[in-house]
Amino acid sequence: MRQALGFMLSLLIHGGLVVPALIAFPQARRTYEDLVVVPVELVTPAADTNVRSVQPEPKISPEDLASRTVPQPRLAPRPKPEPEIVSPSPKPEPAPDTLPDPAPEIEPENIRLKPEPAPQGLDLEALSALVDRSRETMAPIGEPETGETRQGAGPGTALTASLQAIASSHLNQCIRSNADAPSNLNLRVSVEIRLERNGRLSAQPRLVDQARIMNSSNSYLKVAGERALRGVIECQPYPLPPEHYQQWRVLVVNVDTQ
Amino acid sequence: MTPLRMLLAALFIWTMLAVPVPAQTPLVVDVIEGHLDPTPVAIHNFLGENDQESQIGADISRVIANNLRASGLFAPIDQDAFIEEVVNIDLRPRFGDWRVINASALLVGRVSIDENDRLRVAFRLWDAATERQMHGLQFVASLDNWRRIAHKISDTIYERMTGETGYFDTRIIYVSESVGPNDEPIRRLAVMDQDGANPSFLTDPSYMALLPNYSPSAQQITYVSFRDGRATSYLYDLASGRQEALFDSDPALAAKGQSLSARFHPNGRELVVSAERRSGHDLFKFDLHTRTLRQLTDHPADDVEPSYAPDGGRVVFSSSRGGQSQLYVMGADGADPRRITFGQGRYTTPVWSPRGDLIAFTKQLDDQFMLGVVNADGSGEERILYEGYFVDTPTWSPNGRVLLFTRGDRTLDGATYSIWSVDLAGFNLRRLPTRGPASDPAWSPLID
Amino acid sequence: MPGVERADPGKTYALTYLRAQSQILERDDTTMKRLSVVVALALSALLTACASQPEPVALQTEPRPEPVYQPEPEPQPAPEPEPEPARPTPGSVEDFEVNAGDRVFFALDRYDLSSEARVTLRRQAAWLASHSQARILIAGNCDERGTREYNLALGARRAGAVREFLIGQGVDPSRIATVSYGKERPICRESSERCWSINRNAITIIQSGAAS
Repeated sequence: MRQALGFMLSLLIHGGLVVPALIAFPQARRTYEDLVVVPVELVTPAADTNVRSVQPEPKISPEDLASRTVPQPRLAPRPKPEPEIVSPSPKPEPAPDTLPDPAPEIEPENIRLKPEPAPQGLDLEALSALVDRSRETMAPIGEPETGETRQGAGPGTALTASLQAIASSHLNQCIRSNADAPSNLNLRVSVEIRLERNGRLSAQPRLVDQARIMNSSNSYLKVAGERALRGVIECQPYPLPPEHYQQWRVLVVNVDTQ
Repeated sequence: MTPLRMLLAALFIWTMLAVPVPAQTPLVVDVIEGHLDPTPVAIHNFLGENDQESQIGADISRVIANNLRASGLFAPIDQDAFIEEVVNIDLRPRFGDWRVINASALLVGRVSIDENDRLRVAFRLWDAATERQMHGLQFVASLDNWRRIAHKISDTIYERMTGETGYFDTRIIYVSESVGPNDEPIRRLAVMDQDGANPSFLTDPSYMALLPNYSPSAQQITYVSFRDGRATSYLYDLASGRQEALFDSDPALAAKGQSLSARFHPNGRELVVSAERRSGHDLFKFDLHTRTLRQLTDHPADDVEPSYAPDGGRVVFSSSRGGQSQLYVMGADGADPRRITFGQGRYTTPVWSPRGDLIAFTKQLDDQFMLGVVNADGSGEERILYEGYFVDTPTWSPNGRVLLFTRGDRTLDGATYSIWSVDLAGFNLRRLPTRGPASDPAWSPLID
Repeated sequence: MPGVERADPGKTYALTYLRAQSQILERDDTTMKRLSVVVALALSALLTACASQPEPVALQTEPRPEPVYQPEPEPQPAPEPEPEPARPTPGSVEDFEVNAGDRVFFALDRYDLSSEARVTLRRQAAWLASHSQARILIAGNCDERGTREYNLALGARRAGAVREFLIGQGVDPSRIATVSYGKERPICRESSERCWSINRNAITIIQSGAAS
């Protein structure tokens, strides 16, 4: 009975959150993503397209062999760069290819891509904030649900160990190893995740010390953080025993896969 | 209990229980292994507003997918599996549609050609799991450079998702091998993009050209030319096509015999090269500015195949001074040569990794050839990455993650040679697409 | 036809070389072996005598039981069997190839001269002595079982060993040029020891001064 009621309540409050989100979502779909500035990188013509090619393809064609016996004709064009392939400048200087100039290039582009003011874009931060709030609201509601099984959540380090083992072996299949990064770097990261009873995330995972990791000049560390985040998301649903839900509602996943 | 009471009770319990929740201790899980499977990425065809743009867009996507697949670190997803058809890259994708097909990342892009025939390629790389944009960038170039743009985008993705610099916008010089009408060997230098595209010859068939190496700027190469009748170390300026024999600067030395494959110092101003003197082959340093040679080793045994460390401070080479050929490391000025390999077999072709910690080599043992790496200081065990009938001339990718090498396979008509790649873990063995037999690959540094 | 004639002597030589080797091996015993090591070391010392340093060259550190370089009294029939058909013009390239023998063979990863090679080279020296206008190019070759640069160096060593021997036999150094083709010019293309042993050679080519 109590369960049923809890469920109803939960449904109500969940619904109150989810329905607006559902309404908001298609809208969000239509909005432009807040654009990261798109720098223009100039590509100069291949440095070595300057190199004259004696022939288009390295294959020994019959005519090729023929030219062997008649030493003259083919050898003539050899040492000189072919004029047409040569770019305006002999070297891959950025100059001639620097197109008009970067500034006016980027600007119009950016303006065009800028989000239209009207609908509030689906901002991830806002979204996750929303989810955060929902998490706070949901938490107490979820509680009664698990009331009966709470006794199982008591002491029991053996239980903890086995839950850790399940989660760990599951996560090992989802998180890309950093074994190929230089071994002298410390690439340890932690992710905190909140789960629902069905093993799905109830909120966006949170990278512990996110600012340090994501702004790190160490590209491997940033990648390690992203791999961990991606991994915990892709690992849904978590095959953890529902009867011990209380034990694994919140996981802190320490990833150190070097 | 009346329903009202029940409700009240429930509310009470709810209030009571709500308190301890925030204090709940999380379950701490350690993940120390992880997996090394290729990351599934969805590469949508780059969009265009007309047929020409769409065609280039599809071509760019294909080249990127091919690059990423060949790296062994990514698994491009078959486009037939895609659910969402992206029509505007400035819209947020429907991430659920991409997660359903197990994409970890999604690449979308747009191609446009302006009135000056300039090609403009913008792309966005999305993390399908966290739903964040990982990268957004635009490249501008002339139309015929669409492949280079594809390679640059590949490099950007590789770098963004692995933390390493990429190696796709690079070229490979190699030797195209064939046999002439009078059974004479034809060995021509050829160059192609890292993925085998745009092959062209650099030398004509009238003389043998072997063992090329790139300068750090990729503007020059060294190689061994037989245009003077015997093996002679040449410097070849790619932009001007000018060629010169290194030892022309020292006729007395040149008269003593052949000179072999020269390799650049990382500063681009010096070369190290093995040349024959009456008493065998010794190592020399060639200064490109002063055009002078300095002898680095003087040993009755043959010292060959020198290669600089990336810091320029040391040189590794192979020498038979210990009996069979083994690897030695000495100072760049020739000081203090020390043997670093002690295993069974004949060790040859040492090449220092761009990261500096490893040296790749080939080894011959019991009729088998091996490609291996060993710590540059000789410590630890060597690692064998490939073993087969024949292995020669390893060359590193600019980021030091991949090796190319010559592989020879036994046939009834003598060995046939082809170029293969393998990663540092010994995985992802692949044949490079060359027309006909090929050998002696030399990987360029990243262009630009 | 010249192409065919060129190829033939090679085969003949290869056969005689192998025959000679098996004869030697049959006679092999431990004392002989030890003796051979001593001789080989002595030879290597000779070969490297021109090297400025007296450093021990450990080339022969691991004696292989293969060719025993005994200065035996050349009991073998001259490697050239019966040249019954039209005799080559004396002093011609063909004369050199047929009657002196234009090539010598080497053991795996070695550049020291076998006794049979010395016999051939003495004939070459004698021929060159009687045809003093002739200038030669000695081309060192290797089998395909070695890396490219290594083989270029080894081929140079082989050509150099022949050069030194001929000079020792009185041939003027100014008449001799050498080249290494490494493994790039195999006589025999099959991937087998039969071919490899033929491809490990130094070939003396008359460049000028031969009768036509």
